Parts: sequence; C-alpha cells; structure tokens
Amino acid sequence: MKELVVLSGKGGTGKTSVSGALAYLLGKNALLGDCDVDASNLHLVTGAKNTISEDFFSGCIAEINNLKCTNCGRCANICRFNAIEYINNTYVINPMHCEGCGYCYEICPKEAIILNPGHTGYLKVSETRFGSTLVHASLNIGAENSGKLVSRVREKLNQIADDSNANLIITDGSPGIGCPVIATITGASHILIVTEPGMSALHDMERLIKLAQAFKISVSCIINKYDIENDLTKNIEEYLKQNNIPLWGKLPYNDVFRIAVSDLKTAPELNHELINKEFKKIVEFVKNTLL
Amino acid sequence: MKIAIASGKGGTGKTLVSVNLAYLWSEIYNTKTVLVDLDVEEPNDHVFFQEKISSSTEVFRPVPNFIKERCIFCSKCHDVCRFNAITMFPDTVIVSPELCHSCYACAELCPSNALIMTHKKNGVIRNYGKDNVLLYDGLLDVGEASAVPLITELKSQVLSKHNNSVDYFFDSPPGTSCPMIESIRDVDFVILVAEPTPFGIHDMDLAIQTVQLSDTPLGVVINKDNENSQKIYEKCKEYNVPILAAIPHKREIASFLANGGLAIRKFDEIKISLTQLVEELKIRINNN
Repeated sequence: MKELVVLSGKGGTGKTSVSGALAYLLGKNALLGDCDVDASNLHLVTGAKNTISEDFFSGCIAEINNLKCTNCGRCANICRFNAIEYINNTYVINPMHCEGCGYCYEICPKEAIILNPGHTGYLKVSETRFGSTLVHASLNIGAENSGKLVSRVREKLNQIADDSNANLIITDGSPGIGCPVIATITGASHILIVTEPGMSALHDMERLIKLAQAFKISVSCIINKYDIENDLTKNIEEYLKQNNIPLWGKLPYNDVFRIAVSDLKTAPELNHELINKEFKKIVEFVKNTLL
Repeated sequence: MKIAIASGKGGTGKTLVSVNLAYLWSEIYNTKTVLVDLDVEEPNDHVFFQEKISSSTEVFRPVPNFIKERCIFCSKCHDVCRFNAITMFPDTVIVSPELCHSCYACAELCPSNALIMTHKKNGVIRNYGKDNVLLYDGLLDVGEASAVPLITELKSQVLSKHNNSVDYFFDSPPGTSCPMIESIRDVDFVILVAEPTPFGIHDMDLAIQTVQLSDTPLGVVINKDNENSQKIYEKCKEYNVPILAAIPHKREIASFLANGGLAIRKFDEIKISLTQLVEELKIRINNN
C-alpha cells in the first residue's frame, strides 16, 4: 500500500482542488484521507455520505473541585500555560488554554484537581460520490492535539487499506509545517506539493521541502495558477530542476476551478479539455510513481 | 489596542489585510503601528513589507536536561510526564525534547534536582523597519512540532517592548487549533478574512465558533467578493457577526500580490475597502 500526501506549506494554493480531482479520476481505486482536521474540506467536494463517526479522546483537561479547593494558589503559580485564573474568589481552569500536563493535579495539596479525559473530536469514515471511502475527522472547537487526531486518521486509513487490499491512499493535508503536517507525513510514501507562482508560496514550499528531506520522503510538485505570473513560474521550474523535484503538471488560472468548488464538484467534472488533459497526465505520474 | 487577523481556511487573504491595514491605520491616525506575523510555520508578511530586516534573534523553549549523577531512579519524572517525553532505563533517563510540552512538572517535582530546565532553540524572531510601521515575525525551525511556544514568546517580547504606546496587528496562522487560539488570545478584536466559496464558508463557520469561545468581539472581511458573498452574509447573520468590508477580486490583483508589495498603493478599490474597515473597527472597538 502506498500513500500520496498532498501539501503546500502556504494555505489556499489548491490542495483540496487537486486532491478532489485525483479522487474523481481514480474513483474506486483510491482510498481517501483528509488530515486537515481543524479546517477539513475534502468531504464537501467528494460528497461524503453515510458517515460513521467515532469519538476521539486524547490527553486530559484539568478541572478544579471548588468544594475541596482552599485557594492556596499553588496550581496557578506553577501552570506554565496561564490556564488557571482567579475569578470571583475562586480558581478556575480555562479548558481552552489547559495543555493537559497534569502538573497542577500532581502539586495540589488537597487533591482538589480532577483530570478529565479530553474529548477532542470525531474520527469519521464516509462513502464518496465516486464509490471510494474517505477517512476524515473534525477537531472540536478549541481542542488541543490536532496532531494526535491526524495520526488516528492515518491509523484508520492503514487499517481500511489492509482490510480492503487497497493499494493507493490519497491524503489531503493542512497548511504549515508544524505538528499536524509532521503527523501527516510520518510514514507516507510520497509528497505532492501544490504551489503557485508567488513569493509567499515559494518561500513556504522551500520550508516544506526541507521538512520532507528531514523525513527522507520524496517530493513532486504541481504549479497551480501558473499563468498569473509567468516569470515566477519559470523561477519555480528552475528551482525544482535544481533540486531534482519532478514537476507533474501546471494548471492554469481559470474560472473552472472556482465554479467547480462553488458547485461542490471537482474541476475535471466540468470537462475543460486542457485542464482535463493536464489532470490525466498528473494521474499517470501518480500511478507510475506510487504503484 | 490589539487586533488579530485570522481565517480558518488558508489563503483567504489574511496577509493582504494585515500588511495593508497596518500601513493604512498608521497613515489615517498618524500613529505608530506594529504588525506581528504569528504564522511562524510559514511567515509571509515580510514579502509584502516595505522595509528591510533590521535584526534577528534566536529564541528558545525550555526542555529538561538530565543530570545522571543526581538521579536516584525514583521514576517520578517518568510518572508525571503525560507526553511520554521521559523514558526510564535501569541506569539512565532519556528526554525526548520533541515530545516535551515545557510544563516543568518533571524538573520541579524531581526530589533530587536531576532534571534542570535548559533551553532548546526553536526558531528566530526578526524585526523590520524603524519608522511608523514596524514588523516582527517568528520563523519556526523546520522539524519543530509545536508553533505555540514561539507564538507565545513573540507576542510577549513585542508587547513588553512597545507596551500601550502603539496599535498592534496580529497576523494569525490558518486553522482553528492551538496556534490560531494562542494568536487571538487577549486581543481586543478579531477580524476573520473569508472568501465566498463553500470551503471558505465552512472554515469561517468553525473560526467564528472558535473566536466566540472567548468574549472577544469579531467581524468578517470578505475577500475575493463575488455573487456568492450572499452566503457569507447569511452565515454571519446566524451568528450575529458583522461584515466589516468586502475586497473585490481581479486577476491583476492576484498577479500583483504574487510579486509582493503594498496593494493599497496600487489598487484604489483595495484602499477604499480597507479604509471602510478602519472606520468600522474604530467604531466597534470604541463601543466595547
């Protein structure tokens, strides 16, 4: 089983548009994952239905039992996350800022602190319009541990892949290079970077490539909206060549993408000849590289 | 006064709004503004900022360092660490800094002072400019998992340097999880930049709910405004969140932004939208 992860560094370059297009073109042949657990979108464009949801617990959240608390204030003094506030003559833990380290629980002389298991989100398995399975998740509003929920999505993907003998997983990732992205790429087979001609996107892609190199994962690239700044596109192509990163395709700046997203469709479903030709080429690269 | 610019979805135009707003605000009120790029995983404000980098300092986060000679192998550190950052062996203790959340429990609860908090570099803080608009950003070291300690450090350094003498604009990372929550913490107002697509509206919905967990007032700026913006108005009405301004979309704007630069100098329509935003903010922040 091979897993292709779609990433970008910078947000809004078209990760989900590309993941959605690959999902449509590969149909039942690909198992799908969405590792952007705090702002997931792949379920929208793939028409996810018959969703089975399971609770996800991770870490813990501290709470003060005010019947036992003697207001000594030790917990607030040692909390490095400033999560414990003194309001109306009592100490209160703000769950949004509690890191779940349990130091307050350890240090309280009156055993007034309770550690509750943190219900941080939901793991979901859905059927898509294309006959494939999508594993996705939603992090609760304000919850911690998005990296752990990402790892749970990938664990589930691997389990389903084993059970169904699937040989290809396409995973949509999140922007950035921090813990959710690290959790997304750990153990993945190949990274597909969706970039665009812009100083920001280029800067962010370089940092993502460094991360991929540190994890020893191979990388390919798609340039989206390549024709908005042809000179910058040339710079990106030059950069890719120098770093031996294959360029799988170049997608134009075209209203087809906007209309597709607005109608919750994938771009190839709109049958634009040139764009579909480019996507077919990209699918061939996916198959040749991963299968 | 502190205003955060956030979004939920990435690429909606946070940086466009943040950089241009910091300049426009300074010009309109003839005051000093400090722009802070808190998207430390992928900071981009500097690409659009008009001034060169003037200094860069390394930043560190606390992690425990094991001193074997002092250890009595009681296993307390291992037992209290909830992040599996401490592994016990019969004759040593190994700390995994990448799993450590810097809570200090192991070091301060160790009965023999065998774990001492030391500092591990996790990035740099840079600053740009010296006139009326200053920019600070953080650059997380590649491979560092958590952006939060650097965000906290960056905010704290900048706020203690300039106190209440300036107005602050915090450009926040995308998403709705810990880095975004840390960025909007203790601000006076949150601007959410949203684009009128199903993805943009879905993520704006999550971002509104996240901001509303605190009592911070918020408003929405629509970017890439088009006929579908009506759906943003409807969603915001449900949450009783005001729309502060709408920025039109043109291919020329996208091309201009690709190269960096100050959009208010080039596009009147952006200057008009953001001037309206400045007026809306002044009314809403004074009323609170």
